[in-house]
Amino acid sequence: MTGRDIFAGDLADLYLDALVARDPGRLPLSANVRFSENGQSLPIDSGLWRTAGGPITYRFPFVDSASGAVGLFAVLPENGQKTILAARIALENGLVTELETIVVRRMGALFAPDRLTEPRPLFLQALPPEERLSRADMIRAADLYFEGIERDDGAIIPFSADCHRVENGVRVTGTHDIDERTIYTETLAGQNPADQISSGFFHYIKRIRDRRYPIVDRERGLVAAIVMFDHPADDLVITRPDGSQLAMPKEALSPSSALLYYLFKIRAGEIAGIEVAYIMLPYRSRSAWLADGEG
Amino acid sequence: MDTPAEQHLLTFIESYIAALAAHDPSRLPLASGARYTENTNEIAFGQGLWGTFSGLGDYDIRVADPARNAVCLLASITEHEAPAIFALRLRIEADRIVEAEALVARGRAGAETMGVADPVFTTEVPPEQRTPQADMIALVDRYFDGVEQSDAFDLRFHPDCVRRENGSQSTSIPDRTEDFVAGRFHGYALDIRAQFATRMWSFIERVSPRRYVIANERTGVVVGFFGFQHPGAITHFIAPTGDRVPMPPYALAPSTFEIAEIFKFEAGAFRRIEAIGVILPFGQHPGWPAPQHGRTT
Repeated sequence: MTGRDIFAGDLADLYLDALVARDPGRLPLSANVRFSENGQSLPIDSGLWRTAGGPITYRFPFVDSASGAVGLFAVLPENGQKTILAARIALENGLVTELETIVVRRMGALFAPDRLTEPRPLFLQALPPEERLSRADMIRAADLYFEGIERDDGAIIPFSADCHRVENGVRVTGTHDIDERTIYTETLAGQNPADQISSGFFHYIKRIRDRRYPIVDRERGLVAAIVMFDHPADDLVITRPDGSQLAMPKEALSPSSALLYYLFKIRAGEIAGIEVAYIMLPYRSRSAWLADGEG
Repeated sequence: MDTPAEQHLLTFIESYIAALAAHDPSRLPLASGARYTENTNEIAFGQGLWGTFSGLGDYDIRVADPARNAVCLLASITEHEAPAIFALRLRIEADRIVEAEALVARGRAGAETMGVADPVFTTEVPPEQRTPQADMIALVDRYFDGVEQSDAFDLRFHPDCVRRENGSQSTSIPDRTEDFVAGRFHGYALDIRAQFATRMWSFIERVSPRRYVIANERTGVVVGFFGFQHPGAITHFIAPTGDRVPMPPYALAPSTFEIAEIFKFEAGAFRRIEAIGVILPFGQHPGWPAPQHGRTT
């Protein structure tokens, strides 16, 4: 572990301990700290700060090598019900100025906090210097993922052959172990991420907007992205380039948006792993972190 | 019988539904600068439900308030053939729609139990039993103060008064046992007035903002849009029976419910209440300014 890892882990631990104690005062807060939960600006002592408890059964901190910003995935109970927490902590002069959180509470079948126990080893491994990309190239690779979804084209995304994706604790690519209640049919879940996207299945995701890349860890090859998906629900069935028809999943038949916190592992220029925590919101919801007129 | 002024306002609901069914907002008499929100987010007329609406269901209440140039529809609908619940508020100026606010509660759970509307909401109240509109609004305000404070005060309820929420009756319903049951306590079995003091609604920290849209003395009806704030911090309450009762699962996480609610009055007493609401992240703004003067919009 390097010094920066220890500091990231320390700040993440300090935050989680403060959360379990329901006491934001245990954090070195700036007087002007901004806090959000699930896209809403809130007083720092509200939301999960009033409902969290222990034990923390999963913790995965990561840090921006340039800015010192800390990211975090964790699992902890809220009034006895397990939740998945994805957080971002920004610092200035050693004080917390921004705390952005997404709290995933019991939702449809794509919610398995019990399956999150240890970070995937892939995400902890430091990259040999020759496999590291520039900050801009890392963000470009992550952004291509969203471009590929918008265009139903997995081929434009630089995936490694062994890349798979975990959403709210559930592995949803290259697996046959899938809950039948999810939108992921067995055929779909058996595919790799590129083929899933090229199948047209994600056509209902019409726009991926308000893309932010707040944390980049060059040494480990990690990029965090916080984005909003729009699902206008205007297609029941799509016709694919080969002329075949594909019905959109029933969950995509009413308008909605989704707020998602991604973590990409980028190794040797390829996306080698994806972790996502997300929540569903009313259509065209906006994040508190955008200034008026943005998005 | 609706008054001519009410009938005129109700034609805007007719034309709105016709335009919605045609997925064609250009058919609407929109004022320039008209705003549309759906589930609290401002979107263009033509987006959201405008692309997915299939048709009206059996549940259908329409009420108008000529003094406020407002008209509301509470209805069951289908959206791409799936059932949903719909609340719509329109504000009309110079025969044009200036504000349209929609709540669409999706998911089968409530939509399939909406049934048909109780005709009491549109039945005329005999003149001697009418309540002045300002008094009706004050009573609803007092009712929400009572929700916040677990106190029914001196509010009067008709013996048959019940409340339904997204199609589920929540008062005087002994068959309903999934929540608020512990020891000798059975919350849903109690009548609407008796529930207040039990503290079973104490997870609702505040009902705010309160936006009153319609107060019609002729039919004794008030309609408003209300923000129910649930910080999620109260996990149990001690009922008058002495039982320690767990709050239901939906009360254990922070949330805001935006709710369109209709209240019927007869002779100064609550006669029937129906609510249609959507679950939102805690703190979500309703998308319209809070009332500036008093509590009415």
